[in-house]
Amino acid sequence: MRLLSKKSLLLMSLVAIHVPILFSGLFAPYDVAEQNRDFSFVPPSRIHFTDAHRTLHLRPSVCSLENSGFGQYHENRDRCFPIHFLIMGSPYLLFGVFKSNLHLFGVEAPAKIFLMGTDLYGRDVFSRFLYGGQLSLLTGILATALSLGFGVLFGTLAGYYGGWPDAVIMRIAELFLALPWLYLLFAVRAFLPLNLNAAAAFCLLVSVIGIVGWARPARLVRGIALSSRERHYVLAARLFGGSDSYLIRRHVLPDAYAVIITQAVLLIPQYVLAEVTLSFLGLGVGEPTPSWGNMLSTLQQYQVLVSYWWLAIPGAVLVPVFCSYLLLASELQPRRTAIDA
Amino acid sequence: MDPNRHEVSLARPIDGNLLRVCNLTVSYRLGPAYESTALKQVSFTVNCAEIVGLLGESGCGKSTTALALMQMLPANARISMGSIQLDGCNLLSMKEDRLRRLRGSETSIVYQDSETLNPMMRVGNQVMEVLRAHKPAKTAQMRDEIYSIFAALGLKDCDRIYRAFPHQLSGGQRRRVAIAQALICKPRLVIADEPTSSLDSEATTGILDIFRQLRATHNTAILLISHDPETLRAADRLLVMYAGEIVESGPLNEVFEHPAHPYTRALLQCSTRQAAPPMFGVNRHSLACIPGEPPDPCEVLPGCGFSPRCSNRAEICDSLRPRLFEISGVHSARCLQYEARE
Repeated sequence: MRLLSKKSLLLMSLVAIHVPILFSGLFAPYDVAEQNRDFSFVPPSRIHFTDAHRTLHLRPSVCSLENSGFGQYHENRDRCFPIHFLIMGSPYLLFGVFKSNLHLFGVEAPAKIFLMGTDLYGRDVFSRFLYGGQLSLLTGILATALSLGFGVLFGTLAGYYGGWPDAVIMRIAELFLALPWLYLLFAVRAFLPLNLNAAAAFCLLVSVIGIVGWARPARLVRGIALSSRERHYVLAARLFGGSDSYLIRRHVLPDAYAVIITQAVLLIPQYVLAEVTLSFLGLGVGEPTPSWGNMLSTLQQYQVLVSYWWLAIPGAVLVPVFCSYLLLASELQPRRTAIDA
Repeated sequence: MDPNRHEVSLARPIDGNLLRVCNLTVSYRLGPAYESTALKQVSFTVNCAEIVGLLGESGCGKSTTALALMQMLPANARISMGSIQLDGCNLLSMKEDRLRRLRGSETSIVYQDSETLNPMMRVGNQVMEVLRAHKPAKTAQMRDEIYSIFAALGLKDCDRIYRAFPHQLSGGQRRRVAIAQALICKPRLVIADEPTSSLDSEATTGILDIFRQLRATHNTAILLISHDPETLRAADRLLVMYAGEIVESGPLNEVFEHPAHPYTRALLQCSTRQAAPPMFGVNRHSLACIPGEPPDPCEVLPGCGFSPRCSNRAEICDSLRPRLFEISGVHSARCLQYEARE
């Protein structure tokens, strides 16, 4: 017997990714905007279980860093600071509502803990990574909701009614499928003022990604609605006096649920990637608000790319995020075939 | 409550006919300038509390008749002529939302296959949806009503069936649930399109009994459509359809005992009960069958549609189209051999 099934492993990985991002205020030791100008491009902190005399301690500790100039840092092994769990630190708002200053972990004053190193301004990359994940994943989820909303609406109308509405909607969908969305976004962005505030840029990003992506789910849902409306129980329900809206709600859309869910799970990582790509090119939410894409944008400088590998971590983390979403999608897939059979 | 809701049922027919179909002609468009005529000037009436049987082979227009009566013909069908009057209201000129209120509450259909239930919904809910669409009440009250109709239809263990999904029921149970859907609103006209196809003889008898009971208790008129003369034994009056035309109509016993039209005669000879049951070596003879095939509905024949297959065909049959000749007061047949007699 296997200790962990594939499903529970998948569930655990999804929780492990999303919970820290959801509660980023709690999990992040520092504020996203907190700068330490003396500590720019610090590599990830080493966590020690031994002190300078090589005695083993159960409580992990970090040593204070000293700047030896020219971007070189060395640890002072004589000054070790234990890592404390659930300590008070800088205040933050949980979910933007609840005030708190509780952090999951942290170290006392002179020492700093940088799990993923720091960037040019000495900001903690780990904290920014968590907060940035909120923005990137939210973009993915909202854009997915938007494109699925449009897709399901137009796909159902096209598939259910057929005839000219079908022809018109599907020709428009094909137009959207043919559009190179990256260039479209460049064009849209070029129309707008150079400096957009974070909220406006976020809305722009979500709406462009979401609206451009409606065509694919629309085609899928249309196909299902097309076959579903011909089913005998749909005809029977109509013969018993069902209206069009009733038939769509109760008989046609439930046929599409499985596909819609699978599509959602497939689209979220795709749209997260879209956000990362666009922000990387400077078309997304700008500094100082972190997102995975704009955190990676410093890597456009060759010097940074070759010297400070830890700045690429937000990019590398996309791999497990995508893998777990795609696994979830394939996990949901058999349900769909079971219903179809 | 919509004041127009019961308009149809309140308007009493003058002559007692619940349903009156006059010269109904339906054709399907199969391509540009290419039509096939499914029904040719079909006329018949159904009275209150009457079971009318519609007999005919596949493709003769039985299901088209049923769909036309529900005003649910497919998009490529066209009613080029005729009228359908339910309680004196013409269905052909009725607006879609009024037709929708009629379907399921005044007229209802039992469909020929058992896939009329959504596999993803509990069957009890599917029956309740019909009730909710036409006669909404409190959920508990509607559930009681469904339980009582389940019991009336001979479904034991109502509670389990109410909560079952279609795949958890047998074919006969599914058919009964479909009938419950059709009858739950106590419609005045039930169209049963092959209600017993693919059921064994016991289940068939059970379902036909249900129709008889329904007629007795609720004065429901039933149009029973089948290709099998045995199924139609439950009917009072029989209509025989061939190639989109009604070729014979009359009281059941008279038609069965003295079939007037050559097609009816041939069809009844094909029936299994009439031929001796073949046994091993004893009394073995093959089932009778009608030679030839029904005419292509796309072609317009000048004469009688059955003449190429008819055993007592005359010269004139190929050129003259017979009308319905009266044989006795209630019995009539569309055959030229009765022309002289009139």
